[in-house]
Amino acid sequence: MKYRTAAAFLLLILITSLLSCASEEKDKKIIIAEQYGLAYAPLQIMRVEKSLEKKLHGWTVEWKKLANTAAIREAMLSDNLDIGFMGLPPFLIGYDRGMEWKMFTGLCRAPIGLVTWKENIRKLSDFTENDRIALPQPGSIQHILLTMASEKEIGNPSFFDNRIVTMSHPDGMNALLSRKDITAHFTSPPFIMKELKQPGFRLVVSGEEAMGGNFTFIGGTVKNSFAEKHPDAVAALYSVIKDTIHFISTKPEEASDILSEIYRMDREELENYLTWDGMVFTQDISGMDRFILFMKNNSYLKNDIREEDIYYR
Amino acid sequence: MKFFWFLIFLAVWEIIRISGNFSPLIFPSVKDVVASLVSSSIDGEIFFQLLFSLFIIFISLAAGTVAAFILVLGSHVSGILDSLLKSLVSFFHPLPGIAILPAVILWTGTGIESIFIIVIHSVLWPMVTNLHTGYSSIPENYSFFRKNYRMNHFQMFTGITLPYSLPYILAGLKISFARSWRALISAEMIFGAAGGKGGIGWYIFSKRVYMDTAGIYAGLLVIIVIGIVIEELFFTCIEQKTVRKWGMIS
Repeated sequence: MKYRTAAAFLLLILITSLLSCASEEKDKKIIIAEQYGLAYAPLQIMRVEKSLEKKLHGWTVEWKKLANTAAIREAMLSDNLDIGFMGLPPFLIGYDRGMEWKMFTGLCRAPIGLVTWKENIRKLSDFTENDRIALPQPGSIQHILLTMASEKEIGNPSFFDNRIVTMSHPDGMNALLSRKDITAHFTSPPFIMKELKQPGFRLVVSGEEAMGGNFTFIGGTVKNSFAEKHPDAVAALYSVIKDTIHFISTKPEEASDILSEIYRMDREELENYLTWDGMVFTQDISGMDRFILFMKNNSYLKNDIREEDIYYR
Repeated sequence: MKFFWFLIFLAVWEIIRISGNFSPLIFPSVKDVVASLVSSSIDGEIFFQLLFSLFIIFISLAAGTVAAFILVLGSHVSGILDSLLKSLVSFFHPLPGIAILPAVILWTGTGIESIFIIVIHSVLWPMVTNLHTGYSSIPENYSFFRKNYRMNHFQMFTGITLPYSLPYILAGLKISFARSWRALISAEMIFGAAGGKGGIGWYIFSKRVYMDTAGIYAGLLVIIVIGIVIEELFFTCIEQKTVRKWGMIS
């Protein structure tokens, strides 16, 4: 009896592992994941305008909105995702741990930073034991920038690690606006602009101050196996992003028309944010070397990563 | 016996891993999991996180049990309290701890208080139910003893009520522990570092975001071991020294 149960168990495992091999064959379908925020605006336009479908004839394009990079990595590992858009640090962490993926494009630079409602907080060292900082997750670009800033100001990069509450940007904004125990929120557009519009809310530290220069906020990664199989699809995606970015910068009014519906925001307000100082949509990638250096020095990365290895060309 | 099955499980795990169908980011080797466990134990990380979780559970179990005692004793004194308590149990007992999380965050924010509220909630209602059953099942005759032997209320409580309802108390503690342990781990995974310490749920979550798959399994392993130690060794030990020895359960 015992042997029979064990045999059945083994058989079950065998079947599931075989099934996972069988499901690998899915041709001419591309699944793309993005996250919350205005940084993904070009992707939003591409999604509703079906720009990628127009370029990739006969392909199915599927868009997913995931709450954080951990979810993107897990979806890729379980073979449910080909392309993911994320901040540079989580991409590096995945690469460091053995994710077989590469970055094929930048998407934007953006004004991001730490916002507080508390009167007495002017700089990082003003935070007390009881203050809580909301951000998407440890290891996210917001978190790494916070550790960069706290290394500079306080001399201890992990100073805030136990005062972090993980929240998606919309939840974090709601928590901050309620002026309770979440005293600060490290966030990105449009949330950072909405928060700073509130009376008494102010920026404690900006991403550029933390980093000491400008940097790419969001980039696009592709799973190696997908890129090897469909280099033409990756190239098409790259050129569609290029066209869309060009469209946004040359026709911001039209872009805002499309986007204000998607983001459910006032058109004027959206155009204002889209052309905000520091909000730059570009495929160039900057700041990767400084992220690698800082993250290696502070043990967020275990291996020596060479910048030339991580880009898909 | 459990150990035997555990070894079988490990063997199957290794076979799947060696078969190479899955990325090591999904199926890390047993060696990596053990190594992650050892390194986390050496730098004390997993130990402190665990201690913090168990500390919360212990405080909540104690507070929940005392509160349950007071409520049940109260319900035996007054009929109104009794019907109130019965209604409260039927309202709140079916609510999983993690389901009340959004409401609790609204009231108390994301600090350690809300973790306590959720864990005490998971402890209190099963405890009340069990104590109530235990108390009600004391036969009428025993109250005659009290009169004949002129026992006061305190002697009655320690001499008759407590030993008689001990099997129910233990059963209540077992259920409460299981429930609160689950609620706590879920809450920690959602909250982040509550109270600035984290806990074992947060340990697993941070392993997830840093993509340390071996660390995730190491955390799960620790939870299993704690479950076995508490539920099987600790409770079995108490049972054997008390209710089993007294022949109340076989």
